[in-house]
Amino acid sequence: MDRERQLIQALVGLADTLVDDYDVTDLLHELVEHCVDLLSADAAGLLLSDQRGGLQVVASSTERTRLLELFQLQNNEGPCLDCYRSGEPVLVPDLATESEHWPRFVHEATKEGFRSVHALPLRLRSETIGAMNLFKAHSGALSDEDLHVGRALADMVTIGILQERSIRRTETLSEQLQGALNSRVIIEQAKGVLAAQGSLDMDTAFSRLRRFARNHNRHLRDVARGVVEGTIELAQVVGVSTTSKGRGSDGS
Amino acid sequence: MFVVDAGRIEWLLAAIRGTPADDETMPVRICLACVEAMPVDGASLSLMAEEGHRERVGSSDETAAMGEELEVTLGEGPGVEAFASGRPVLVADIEGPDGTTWPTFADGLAAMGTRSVFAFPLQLGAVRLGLLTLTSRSPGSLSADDLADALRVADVTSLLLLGREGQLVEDFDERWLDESTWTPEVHQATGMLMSQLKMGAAEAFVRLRAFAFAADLELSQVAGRVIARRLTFSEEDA
Repeated sequence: MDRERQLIQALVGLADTLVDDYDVTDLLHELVEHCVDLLSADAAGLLLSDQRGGLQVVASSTERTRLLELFQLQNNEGPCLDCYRSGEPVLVPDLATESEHWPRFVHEATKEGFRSVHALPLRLRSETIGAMNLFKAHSGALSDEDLHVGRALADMVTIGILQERSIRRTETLSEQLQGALNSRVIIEQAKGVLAAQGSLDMDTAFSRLRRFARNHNRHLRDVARGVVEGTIELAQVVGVSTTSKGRGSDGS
Repeated sequence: MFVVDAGRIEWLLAAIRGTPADDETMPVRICLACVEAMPVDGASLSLMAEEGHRERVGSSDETAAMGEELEVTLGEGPGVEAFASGRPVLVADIEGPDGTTWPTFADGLAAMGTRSVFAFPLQLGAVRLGLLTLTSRSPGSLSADDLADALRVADVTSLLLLGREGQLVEDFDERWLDESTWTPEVHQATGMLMSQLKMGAAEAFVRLRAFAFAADLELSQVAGRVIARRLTFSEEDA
């Protein structure tokens, strides 16, 4: 499918979500996947301000990116952090050129097989609430078109976060950010429960969580909570495998 | 649960440690310290169990206590919503349009002279522990800095509540304030322990933390080993 059609489909899908009762957690994960598809990224992640001076990952296309982003944060260096602080895109077509600027980040990113990284800010008027991170295994710049698409996706993230509830209170942004962050913790807890229960790796555990949510038309956050609180039957979420038992690493 | 820049809340840590001369319990000390350090007039701390049972464990003063009681009596209010939703509920002016969500509560609170309410759930992901409520006699939002401090107070207090049977632990490990402690692996490991030990999330986290302490390891290190399956907990260990 050509990109234009893909983009339109993504926009329509997101617009539909916004007029319905939706779960911001679901939305953020869908958006991160759109980033990968539409911007030909090998990995993507969304980070939000925790409003205490830090950035936290709320959605990622794989576990690998997570490691990187957390790493980046802890060492106080990297394109994503610079992007968040400046409110401007930080585009790095060739990571090797920045090894003096961000020595540890470049080292780790290169080790993971990435060659270019681009960070786009999540902006709400004058405030930057986070950043969108794109990682690629090949070096190269983002085209102007890519930047436009990226900006559109970034805007959708911000809108999605704010619009989840009808805005009745002026403090909605803070409430929504904190809610998204806590939902992320619940998802991590749920991943652990499923991983242990079903002898799965974390990526597969997450996939099973999402699949269950979709199949039962429930919000991802609610399913995660149900898994941790014990109100959802774990066997149903883990699923019965018809192939061999043992560690699952399928993409489903 | 992030507590970034913990240096800003030394005043809270001092209140938690307390002094030999203190009469008040730790929850009360925390509430008093909040009022002293932040531009709020009242603070209140409640423990809450899933079943909806709510127990006030400390307030800075009578008005703050009354505000809590009002919400419990009515069964509605910012605190109730914060606890249920897992998000803070920040009401800059209870007499303004924001307050119309809970009309009876808003009227009652305003009659006590309280105009703004900021309710913070105390939680660790799906583990719901309680509520911190800050109030003020004048309307107005918390500044970004004050909000950050309030969130840090909520984080620290949540950790204090993760002790034996939800009672506040008397000793606080200041390593918990280091943001590098709070990796996703820590939460994942909590989930894994829940499954391995057949216990709830709060208990599982406490177990993980106790193991780290006993083994003199970082929480994140232990979590990493659990995820890698180099460390497994079994029910015999429970």
